[in-house]
Amino acid sequence: MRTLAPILVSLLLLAVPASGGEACSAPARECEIQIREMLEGQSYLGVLLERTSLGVMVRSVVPGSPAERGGFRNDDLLIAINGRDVSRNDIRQVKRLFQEAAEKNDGKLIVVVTRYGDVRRVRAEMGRMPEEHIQKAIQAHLREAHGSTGTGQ
Amino acid sequence: MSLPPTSSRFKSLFSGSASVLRPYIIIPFLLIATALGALAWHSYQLSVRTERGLSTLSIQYLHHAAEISASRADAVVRSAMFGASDEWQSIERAENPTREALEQWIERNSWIVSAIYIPDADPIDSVYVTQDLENDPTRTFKNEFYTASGTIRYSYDPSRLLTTVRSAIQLESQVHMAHLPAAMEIRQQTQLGVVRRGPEIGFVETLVGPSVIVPLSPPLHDYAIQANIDPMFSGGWWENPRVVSLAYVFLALVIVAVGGGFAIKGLRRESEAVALRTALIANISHELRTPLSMIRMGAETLKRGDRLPEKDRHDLQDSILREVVHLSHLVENVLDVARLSKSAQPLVFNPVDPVDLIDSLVSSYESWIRGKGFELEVKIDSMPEDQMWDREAVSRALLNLVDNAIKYSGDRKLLEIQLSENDDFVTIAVRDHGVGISSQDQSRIFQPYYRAQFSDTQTRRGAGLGLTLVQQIVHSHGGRIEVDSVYGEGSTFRLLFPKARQPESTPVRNLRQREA
Repeated sequence: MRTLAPILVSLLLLAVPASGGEACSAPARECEIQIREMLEGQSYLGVLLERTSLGVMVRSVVPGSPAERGGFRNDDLLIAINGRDVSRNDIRQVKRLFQEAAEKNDGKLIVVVTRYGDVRRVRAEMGRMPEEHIQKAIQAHLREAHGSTGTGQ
Repeated sequence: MSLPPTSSRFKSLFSGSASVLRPYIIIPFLLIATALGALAWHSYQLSVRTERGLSTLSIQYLHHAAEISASRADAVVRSAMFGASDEWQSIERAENPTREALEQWIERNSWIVSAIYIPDADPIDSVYVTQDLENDPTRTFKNEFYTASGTIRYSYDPSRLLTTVRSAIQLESQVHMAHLPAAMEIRQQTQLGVVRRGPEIGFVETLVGPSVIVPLSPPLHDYAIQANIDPMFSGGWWENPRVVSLAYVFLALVIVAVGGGFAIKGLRRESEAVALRTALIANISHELRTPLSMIRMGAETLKRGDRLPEKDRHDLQDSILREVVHLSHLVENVLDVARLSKSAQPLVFNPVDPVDLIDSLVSSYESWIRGKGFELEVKIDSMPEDQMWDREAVSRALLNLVDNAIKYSGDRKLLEIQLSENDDFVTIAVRDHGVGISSQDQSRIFQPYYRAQFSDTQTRRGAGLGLTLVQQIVHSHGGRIEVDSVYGEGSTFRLLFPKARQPESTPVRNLRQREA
């Protein structure tokens, strides 16, 4: 058994690059264009939501995101978004409202939350997906699926 | 009675003395033909109207079929898209979404070309997978949906959804077709298909027939459902009801025409017979008058008892006797006419010596024949043994032939009677050098009342029954009669009696009664 383990490990190590590299059938350039296209328009807030029995809650806030800057905190329970009652909504409906705000309200959000019993108003401004995020996403893909670190041409 | 050949039959149909009768035949025929034509036209109109009604119904059905199919197609598309997102949601709920998961998801929904999963937590960790199989970017659409922990954005090729759509539609139409009865004459089959959307929408008349086009909803708005009906007949052209009914009408017209033709012919024969009978009656009175007046004159002269030389007395007596014979001959003919419709008298067959029969006939009538200015030649080629004949009948037949020869004489007044035999027949031939019989008449002279037409002004006496009788007598003896004649040169009538065979005692009409 003991002699077998290193063999298995090395096999695994061999296997990993095989599954990781060259997994994407498209040319790297094409992927880059597509990823950029798909990420660019995306408005970015930076909260991870969770559906609970009480409603939609903020599970975590991405550090350095517009959500953090706007004042979202963990465990905030969403009550209303831009004047619309969301206490009975699910995550997708909330996200759709975010998207609507991004399109029609210039990305500005006024969200009413309940924080540990207190009602708070949070103002946040969603931004475009930051360029560095896009770059990093592209590179991650190239690394993982094309077995190369593209120069991001 | 032999039938004349077909060509002369048709010729005589449209010629001759039927002009008076033609309206009686043509008018009913025209009426029937008009009625049939009206019927045919009406039924044609009916069928056109029925077809039009069927067309209207079928077009309505097309509309419904197309719209239902379009809804189905849209539903298929929607369910594909919702299904994909639901699938992903459950993947996300089960485990952390990984690249493999995304790959498998795209594989399962092959209409998705590429997809990216953007986690809410960190967009940098976005996962991107693409199929990229010769993708045309202008034909791909983008869609996205939110998940619990992120967003999926994907691009897809709607044309790849078409296969699913097509199979959904085709399945339905096949199921529907299965309910139709197999034996439908007009097979109106609905064909549903997905086509590229053109400028026309709704009801469209295409080359293949009426069509209805209903466009699909986005994302397949470049496509449309086309429903059309193929109004072909399932059978061959001979099963086409319109063709069949027209054929029937035509056949009916032909039958009516043929029937009319036969009616014309029959009526014409009737009219001829009637005309001949009328002529006969006129003839009879004329013919009876002549011998009667001669007898009367002779008897009166004898009675007056003038000083007549013995020779003249004898001549007168001979003349009276001659005319009496001739008169009885005529009366027999007349009686035959009267007896035509009565039932027949059977022949009585006895052994008869043909030579003796001819001799007796010649001796009885020789003076009469010579009195008409004729020469008589009798040729006995052989002496056959006794034949089983009806003596009176055969004598009668022979006499009729002789009478005819005299009646239809020409310049050369020679009459020949010939008796001959071979292995099968005893033949008695009567030959004259008279006016002859045209080939056209040769086939008709045996018909009752028929008398050949002559252009000369010589009046012909007689009823037109003589040859009919002769033929009947010969046939009853199992024999046949032959005619050789050239128009203008004379005729030879041959009676062929079969030998040594028991002739059928078929009843023969128009024979003189047995003397008691």
